[in-house]
Amino acid sequence: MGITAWFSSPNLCKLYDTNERLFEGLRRLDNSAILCVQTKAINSVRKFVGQYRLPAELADDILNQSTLIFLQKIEDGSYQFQNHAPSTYLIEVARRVALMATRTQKNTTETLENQHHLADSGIETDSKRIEATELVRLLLGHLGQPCEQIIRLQHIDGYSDEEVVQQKLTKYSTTDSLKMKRSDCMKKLIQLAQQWKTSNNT
Amino acid sequence: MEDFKQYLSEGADEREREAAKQVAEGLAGLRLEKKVAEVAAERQVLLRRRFWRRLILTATLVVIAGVAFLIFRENQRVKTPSLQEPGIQQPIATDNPPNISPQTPAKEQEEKKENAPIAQNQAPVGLPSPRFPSPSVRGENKEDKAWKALLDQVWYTEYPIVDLQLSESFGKADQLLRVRDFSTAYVQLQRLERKMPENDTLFLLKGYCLMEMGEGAEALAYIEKIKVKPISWEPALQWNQGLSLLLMGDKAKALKVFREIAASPNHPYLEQSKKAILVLR
Repeated sequence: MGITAWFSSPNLCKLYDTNERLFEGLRRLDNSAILCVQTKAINSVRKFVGQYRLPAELADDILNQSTLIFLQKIEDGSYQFQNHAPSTYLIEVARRVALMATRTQKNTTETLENQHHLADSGIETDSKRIEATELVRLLLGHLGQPCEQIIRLQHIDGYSDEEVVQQKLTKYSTTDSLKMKRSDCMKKLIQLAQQWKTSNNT
Repeated sequence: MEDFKQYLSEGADEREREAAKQVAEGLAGLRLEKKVAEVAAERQVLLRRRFWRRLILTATLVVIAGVAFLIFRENQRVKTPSLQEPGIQQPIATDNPPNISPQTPAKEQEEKKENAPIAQNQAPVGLPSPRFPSPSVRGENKEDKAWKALLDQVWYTEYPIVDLQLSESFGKADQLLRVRDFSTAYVQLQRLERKMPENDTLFLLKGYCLMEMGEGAEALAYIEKIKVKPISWEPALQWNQGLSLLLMGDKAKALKVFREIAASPNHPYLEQSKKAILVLR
């Protein structure tokens, strides 16, 4: 990076001059769109942290947690674009997350990432989704290699089959063989999930 | 996003469908978590960069302000003597140039002492400040502003000296010296010196001119060249000798001269010498 670039102040929202463009960027999970909306919300988040007398270092965790909830809502369609600024919604989510943090602050010093009971109140987070995330995180560990890697590359890291093959990220040299293997792995993962549910319900 | 139904076995029951849905949701959640963590790291880099940018900018501004303040303070310090000593301002040349005598300002000072600024009342021996500033010092003390300030305090020079009788050939040089145009006067005196290389009046004028130009050593050489010194010239020559020594930076010899003057109760430069001794101490 040149010294000029280092000194120039990046305008994160340059690409998103309208609320609709910003929403589209968020839906595509563009990093710059997420950074833009976070930049617009960060001062309010810091204000909430001050208002609710939370430790200042929690501001970042609250912003991350709120962003995660917001992106989930965009993805599952519970947040629809209605010409309002997406940052307004994110700020409201952050306010609620901060409020919840005040309740949990007394009992634990865990980071917000681990405070999934926050969602149990049903305020903003979907407890089922969090439960599912935790379950899959656990089951991926049980799956072992190469299944864990194959599923991660496609479903978490966002690589296409072509990219995985071209960059030789796995031992599979064709997209067909990769797809076949992933299909097996996914079936195995679903079975594991089913077994997990059965064993926990009985 | 893949259709998770493709991974269901034939005739999948509700529990299997539910498990597939849960896996799909879980993977989406993990993907979003990863994305948010990625953006958070990016944000940290940006914030850190912004912090350093602001720090560097603030430090630069502080340095600029500091330098500006130092320059301003330095300028103020240099200007202070001239503000406190209005007497050193250059007079406007007139048809009748003033006869600069060290006694005259002393008398005026006596009359105006009560109304004089505090800085003047605090002069070491009650003398007014010299009318003209000293020349820029050459030699070992050239860069020393403090030394220049010291010289300014004792630069009581007189032209023409008491009872100076000049022939017509010195007319032009005399006029130039009266209006303190020393560089032109020097050129004129150089010409005269070629015509009259052993003339004592020329030595007197050239010595004075060189002294006012800051050439202490040369001024002293011309003062010492004078073979026949009329009694009326002697006080001014002795004083100029002291000033020339000061110009050369020879404080000890200058002090010796000023002490000799101070020891003569009727010497016209008595008060000036006392002040010079005080200042030099």
